[in-house]
Amino acid sequence: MKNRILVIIWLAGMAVAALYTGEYLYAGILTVSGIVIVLSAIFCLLSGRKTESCLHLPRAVEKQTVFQGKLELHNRSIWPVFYGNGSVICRNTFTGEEQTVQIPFSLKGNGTMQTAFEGKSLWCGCIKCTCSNWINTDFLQIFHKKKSTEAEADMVIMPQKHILDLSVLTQEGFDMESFRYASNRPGDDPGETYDIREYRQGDSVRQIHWKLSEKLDGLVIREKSYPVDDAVLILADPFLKETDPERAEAVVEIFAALLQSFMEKRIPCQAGICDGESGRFHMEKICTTEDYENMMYLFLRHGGSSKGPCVVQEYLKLSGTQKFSNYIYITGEATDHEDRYLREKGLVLTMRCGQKAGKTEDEIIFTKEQFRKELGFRSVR
Amino acid sequence: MELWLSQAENARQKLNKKILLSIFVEALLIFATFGIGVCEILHMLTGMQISWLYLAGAAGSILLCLFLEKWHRFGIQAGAVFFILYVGVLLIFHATIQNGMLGVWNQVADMFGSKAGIYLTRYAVSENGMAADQVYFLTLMGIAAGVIGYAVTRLRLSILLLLYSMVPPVLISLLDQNPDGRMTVLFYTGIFLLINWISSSNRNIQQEKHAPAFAAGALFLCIVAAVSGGSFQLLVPETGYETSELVTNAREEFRDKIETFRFQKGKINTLPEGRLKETGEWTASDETALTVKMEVPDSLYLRGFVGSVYDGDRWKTISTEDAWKEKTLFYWLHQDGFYGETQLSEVRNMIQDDTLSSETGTMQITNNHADSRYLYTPYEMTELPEGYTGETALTDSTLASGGLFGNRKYSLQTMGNLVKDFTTLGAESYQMLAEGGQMGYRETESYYNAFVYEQDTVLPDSLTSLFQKELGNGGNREQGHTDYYTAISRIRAYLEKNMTYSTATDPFTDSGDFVTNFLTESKIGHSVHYATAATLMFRYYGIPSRYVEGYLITPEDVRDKTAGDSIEIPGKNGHAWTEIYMDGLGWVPIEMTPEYYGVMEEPDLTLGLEAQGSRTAPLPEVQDHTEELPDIQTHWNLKLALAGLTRFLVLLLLVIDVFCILFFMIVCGLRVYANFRRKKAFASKDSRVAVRALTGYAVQLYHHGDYGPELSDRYQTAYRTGEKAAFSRHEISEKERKDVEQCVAQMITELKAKTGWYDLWIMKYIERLL
Repeated sequence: MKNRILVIIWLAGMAVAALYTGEYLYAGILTVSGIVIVLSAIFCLLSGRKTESCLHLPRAVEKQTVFQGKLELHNRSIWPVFYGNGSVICRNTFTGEEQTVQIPFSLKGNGTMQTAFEGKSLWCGCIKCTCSNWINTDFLQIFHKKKSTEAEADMVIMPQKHILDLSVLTQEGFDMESFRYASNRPGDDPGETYDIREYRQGDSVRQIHWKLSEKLDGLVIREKSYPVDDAVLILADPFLKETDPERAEAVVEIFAALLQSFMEKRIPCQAGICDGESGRFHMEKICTTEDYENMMYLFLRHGGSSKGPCVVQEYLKLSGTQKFSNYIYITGEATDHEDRYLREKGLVLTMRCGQKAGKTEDEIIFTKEQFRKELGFRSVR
Repeated sequence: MELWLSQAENARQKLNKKILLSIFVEALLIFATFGIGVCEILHMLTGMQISWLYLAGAAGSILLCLFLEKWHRFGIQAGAVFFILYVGVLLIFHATIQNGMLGVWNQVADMFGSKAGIYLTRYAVSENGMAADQVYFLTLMGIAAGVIGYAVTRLRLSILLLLYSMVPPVLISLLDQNPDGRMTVLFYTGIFLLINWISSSNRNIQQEKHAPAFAAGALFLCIVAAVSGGSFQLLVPETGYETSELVTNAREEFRDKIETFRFQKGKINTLPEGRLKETGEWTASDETALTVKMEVPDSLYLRGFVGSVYDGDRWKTISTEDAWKEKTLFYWLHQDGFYGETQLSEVRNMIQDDTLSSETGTMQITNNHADSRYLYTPYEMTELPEGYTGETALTDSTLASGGLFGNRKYSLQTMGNLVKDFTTLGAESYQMLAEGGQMGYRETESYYNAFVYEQDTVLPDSLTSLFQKELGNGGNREQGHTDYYTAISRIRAYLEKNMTYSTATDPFTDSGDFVTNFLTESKIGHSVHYATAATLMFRYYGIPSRYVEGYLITPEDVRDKTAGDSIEIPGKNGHAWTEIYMDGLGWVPIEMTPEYYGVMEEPDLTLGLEAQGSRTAPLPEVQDHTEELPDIQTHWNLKLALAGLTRFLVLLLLVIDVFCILFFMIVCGLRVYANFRRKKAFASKDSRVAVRALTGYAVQLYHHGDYGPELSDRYQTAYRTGEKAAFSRHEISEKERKDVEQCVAQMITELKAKTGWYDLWIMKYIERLL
């Protein structure tokens, strides 16, 4: 707008000078100025029509570290772009925060340029950057034309590495000798005995342990074990009805800390997350750091775009393929009761965010402000 | 989340191609604007060819400033050294530079005086080595112009550049100087591109990144300008344009509109300000033109516009160049207390005659709707209004009103009506002077008399022939004029007999002479026609005469009025008349329009006028006074040079003071406004809004200072609270709000404690952060 005002003042000044002095020179300058402005408008229309853009971001960075992104523009036309201004919008799909950076540039005819921008996030999550349009301005900066483009890139902001004390979660703290059979329920695997008990009416004759019955002089029943693939399946659902960066981050950090803790204790576990956009369920065994990073990437990259709690439902659709004796379900919603579907499958420990910290046999409530303290977080050195 | 443009390249301090290109482009633009531009303006102001050393000085200083700016390490120190060197040179060679500066100033004063009629004080200078002194001065001025150009560019003063671009047209219209076409085109190209360069350089953008695109765009623009300019020249040739009637008429019309806007409050009559070809029907309203208060109410002629040069189309005042030539004459006349405007009352004071008006009183004039270009003053004025003494380009014919819109309220000292007794006054003064009395007055009047006869007896040859045919033999004007009575009688008789008075006249717009048309073709006219014809006829008889437009305070208007009563002069009292110069007495109005005979009291023309049958003999000193001027000039300069310089410096200081005060007020005002808005946001009832504002402010503070670890932690907490306020729908507790407020307060305290005075000043008044 300022440039338009300046040009109007310029034209008015030259018109007054031409009129008042009657000088040929000012009439010429006025005419030439008019022609230049008209041509400038035409140029603005012609230039920037064949541009392609591309955004580059690193795959993942830790939170509170500076990352660098690049906007790359290619001009496929012979008309140069004197002044362009691209808007790169970055949105954290987990926390909902959004920032825009204006990137001024100029492009030669058939030229390419790269402009770097930097950023820092205090919250972990997935940052999706898009450049959907840019403004083409003529040389005099009085005419503007909006040009659309399609460039997007994303990047995850990884949480800092912590572990938590598993004993906080259960009395046993998942510190079991065998992880192949469930310790809390009988099954149908004859290869391993789950329990020996007295005969009760209704028990199958096949279950009677004859040798032991003979020795003990009474009918004794042998219960078979329930074979499991892993001791624990950790499910995390980042869906929040209302945007709250602190709660979203608490879910991410607890999920990451749990994986780290199980890894450190060498307790085989698996983690499951759901891609909110496609509805696909990902489940992986977490044994190495690489497994941990892959899982966190998937979680942060795809987890934030769900429109409702979905991880339990999606897991149940796949149930039967693998068996677990324990489930840990992490949610940021105090009113999320998806865990009830899991209880049919095994023992479930639900970790949910609430107003006040608390603990029952199958539920831990943490607060978004103090969850690190409440769950005994320790930094990984 | 925070995002910003990568500043990594800023850290690089080495000059690279882009930086060099940026410096080159910027230097070129500043040079075209402030080097070539000021050079051209100086050329127009002084008329002299500006030395190439001026341009070299400007180019050098611009490049120096730009390179020092990029030299992050020692740029400021090197700049300070150069500044000290500059001041040192000024101090060491101050005498030479001052002489050169005053020489240039005198040329500017001559140009303004002769071309614009604006009289500036001239100073005594030493002519020895003046050319070299001027070169030294102009070289230093070039350096200063370069630095100013650099500062204007860095301060992004685009509006100032636009105002600066208007200087040449103002000088063209004032001084009637034609600028050098190529230089002016370069200047305007430079200024146009420099404004664009300033606009394109955003603080977040590295200029050097845009320099290639800007250079390409500028080249494109220059090519377009050259092609379109060439086409324009082919389509509209310069000679055709300047002689075009359309252009001339448009210019005249535009200037008239501006003049009308400045000096007229509606149209109350059709007095043409001397533009005879625009004179049509005489119409006038009863609306008040002037309101007059007099201590001695009397009927008076109030003269406004006075035309002394006739060109067939219009009456004009004396040309500024001719007036400038006579400046010294008028200076000495004024030094001796002689003013053409007060001559009548001066003569009255020399004569002992109780029958003539002698009482002096104050006259207050309020210009309600009359043209405010001139002050309307009576012939009997004894003292000029305050601020109107001194030499002007109107050579004592009348007083041009001061100010942009003219002076609409003024007071002056005047006697009662002397015009009604001018024959008696003339006869008695003639007698007194003939007897050898009042030698001082006689001497000064003789100088003025010579000027008047040279200036106000000019008559076109075509009219001499016409008058000879119409009026008969006018006598030999070289030997003296016809006696006043005979001239008045003959002219009156001729006009009464041959012309018809009518207010309904058509404008004469043909190319011929106005008076010839009136006397030979139309023969119908009103006061403008009669006064014009009579003025020229008096000249035919060898009597100095001028055409006057003004207002009449008639005996009817002042009847029953007492001292201090308001007398409202309506627009219909506007009138045009002739004034003639009576030797020894001064200018007196003569009514030559038959319709107006008797409106004003008139003396008995048969008494006293025949006595002056020939021009009062000029004193021998008339021829000598110009030879004495050099000595007088020197004396005058010695006396007044210092006073003039002081006035100039005071004026300069005043301008600087006004600028500083305005700057200070604007900066303080903006700071107060910013603080008000900030505090209003902080005090918002909605905690989320308040915390958002507080956090935003905290972020700004954080980037401006270096804080301890404890405060940094508090800041991080506050930042989280701010993000919560911004992105969640949860309520912000009072405690959280208070924490953020305390954090901000602590940051301010720590920032103030750790920041130097200069940075603190910048933060307070420029960035308006505190």
